[in-house]
Amino acid sequence: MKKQNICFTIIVLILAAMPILLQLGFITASSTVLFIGKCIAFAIVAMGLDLIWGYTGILSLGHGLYFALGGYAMAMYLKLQATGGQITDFMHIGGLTELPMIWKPFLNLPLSIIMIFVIPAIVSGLIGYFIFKNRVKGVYFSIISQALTWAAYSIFIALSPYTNGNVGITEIQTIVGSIRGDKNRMNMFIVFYGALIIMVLTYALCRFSTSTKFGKLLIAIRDGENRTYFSGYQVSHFKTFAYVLSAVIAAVAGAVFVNFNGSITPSQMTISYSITMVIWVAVGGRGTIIGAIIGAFIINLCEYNLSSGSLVDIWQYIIGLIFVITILFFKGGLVGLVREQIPTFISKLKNKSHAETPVKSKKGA
Amino acid sequence: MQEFINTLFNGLSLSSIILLTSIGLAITFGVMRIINMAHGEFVMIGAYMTYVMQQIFNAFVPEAFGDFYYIAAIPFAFFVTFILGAILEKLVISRLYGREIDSLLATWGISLILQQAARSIFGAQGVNVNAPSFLSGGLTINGCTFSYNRLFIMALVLFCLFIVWFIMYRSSFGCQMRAVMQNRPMAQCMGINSRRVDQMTFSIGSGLAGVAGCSLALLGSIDSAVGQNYIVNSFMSVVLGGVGRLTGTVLGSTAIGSASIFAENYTSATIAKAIVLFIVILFLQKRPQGLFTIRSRSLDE
Repeated sequence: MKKQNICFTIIVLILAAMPILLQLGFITASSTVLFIGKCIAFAIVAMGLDLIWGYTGILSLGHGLYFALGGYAMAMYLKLQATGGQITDFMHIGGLTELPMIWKPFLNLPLSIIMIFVIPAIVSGLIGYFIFKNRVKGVYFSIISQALTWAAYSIFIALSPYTNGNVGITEIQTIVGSIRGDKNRMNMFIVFYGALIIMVLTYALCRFSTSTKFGKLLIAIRDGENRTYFSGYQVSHFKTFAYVLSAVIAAVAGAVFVNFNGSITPSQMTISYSITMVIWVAVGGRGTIIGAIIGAFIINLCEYNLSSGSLVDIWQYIIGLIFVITILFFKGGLVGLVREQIPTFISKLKNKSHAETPVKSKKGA
Repeated sequence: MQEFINTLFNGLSLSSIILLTSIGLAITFGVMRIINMAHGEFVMIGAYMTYVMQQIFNAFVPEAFGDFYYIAAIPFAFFVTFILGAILEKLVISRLYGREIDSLLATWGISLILQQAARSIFGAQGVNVNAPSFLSGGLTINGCTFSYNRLFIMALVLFCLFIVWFIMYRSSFGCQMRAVMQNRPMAQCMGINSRRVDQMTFSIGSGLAGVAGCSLALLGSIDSAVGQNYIVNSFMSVVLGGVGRLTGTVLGSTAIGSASIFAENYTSATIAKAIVLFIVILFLQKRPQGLFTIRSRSLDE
């Protein structure tokens, strides 16, 4: 358990060094730092997903929805900052003459930040309450969460006067102003370190909640739901709470993501995007918070480096194969590989070389 | 009245396509407790096989028989997806016993690979098949037009449904299948080779997806995402209908298909999706296991 924290500290230190390396000229393109900023957002959502899948055993195929809800809330505030509180172009085209009610809360920052937490919490709370109450579980829940994302996606596209449909909310800056170009490098660093702090806080929250009795209960639900029921715990409440918590974490990640990406589109809430998040957690190692972070970084960095140019096609094969192989043979992902499978493999090798004597002595006994 | 009949016809048409894609899902889920996320890709493969068959006929068969490519394509698509399903079961699914959620994820990985393979082989652009001439046009009764290709699809679905019913309830293999569905360890004790039942079930399910792909090829252009458009609805109808009984699947897909067409008719296509989802969630409040289930006393069903 201590090793996890050390590993996390190393990751944070490496990340913290990135802007400095950029300033010193070791990293030439500032887009690399922006990309790593996005990876931080992905790591945050992966932690949230791990909380509910790795620990509670509920596979949500719809976390893209919460990611996008947070992202849209942030983007709406930033868009209004960019237009100075006036109505946007796409609202004009959609036939609206004044700012719709739903956009009004996003005129000021504190209210927008509250919205980032409240909207996903309400949506996930309602869904979670009604679904978990009746012990809908396993693949049934996965299918419903998938359909939920699917429906939300089409609604966001249909309400184009309010959400700008397929295009999404674009041409926005960050919470501290523009971060593009050399002049605004200071702003970029502020946003980057802000994101890093949010990641550390999320990690602390996840570690805290999984190491307390609550976390033990989540694991109990995963490993024996009925036993937990019979021990007198109201399982559905715990499940709902874990689901809401992970939805809110995903929304925060979405809000961070928007700052680096400069836009948010409905494609962030598709089914395949949601399952991509599950891939990060699976490859990194479910059931360990650090695994989720490692998975998010490794997969995204590989994608960033490989999916440019002619390798785009091959990337799909690679990610599919990695995913299938991970699920089939490495249930614990990379973390499980390092922690369990390699040590047992090494001890097996060692045993082979000493195989003769111990076996004989056992027989003698 | 006319509008109502047209809506009803469209609803039944969509229902029948959903039914064809969900029968395979339902029987694999019923027997093996596996949700096959690559099912949509098997549908896509079936659709592409129709296209391949058309190209073969164009190249080698005199034009007079050109229309028969579609008749040949149906068994061909079934055969190809049947074999692919058997391979997938052997390589991947059989290693994931008792890990429902993991099998769902692994098949998603497979579906990524299959989609990319389709793009690599057939190009990112959609391809079209020419509907055979005997299916063009429609039947007009009292001003309501029923297009022949949709009627043909319905007939095809009924035929497949009959075959599946026959296999499940009137053959010795079906008897074994239902036994495994109800109680796997007990069926094994009775000497049923449950591995073989699994393999056959999965392959038949995949084959049915291929036939569904054939019918989709009649309705529009084929691209690598053609299966995805129907698969969410199929999953929902499996959830709604419950597993283990054919009746459940039939009712589930009819409900989903007609509900979405009717909701679409009076609101819009997007609101319809939300309404259908809402209905399903509401319904699961009453019956968390779906419409029809095999009653059992075990706790974890």
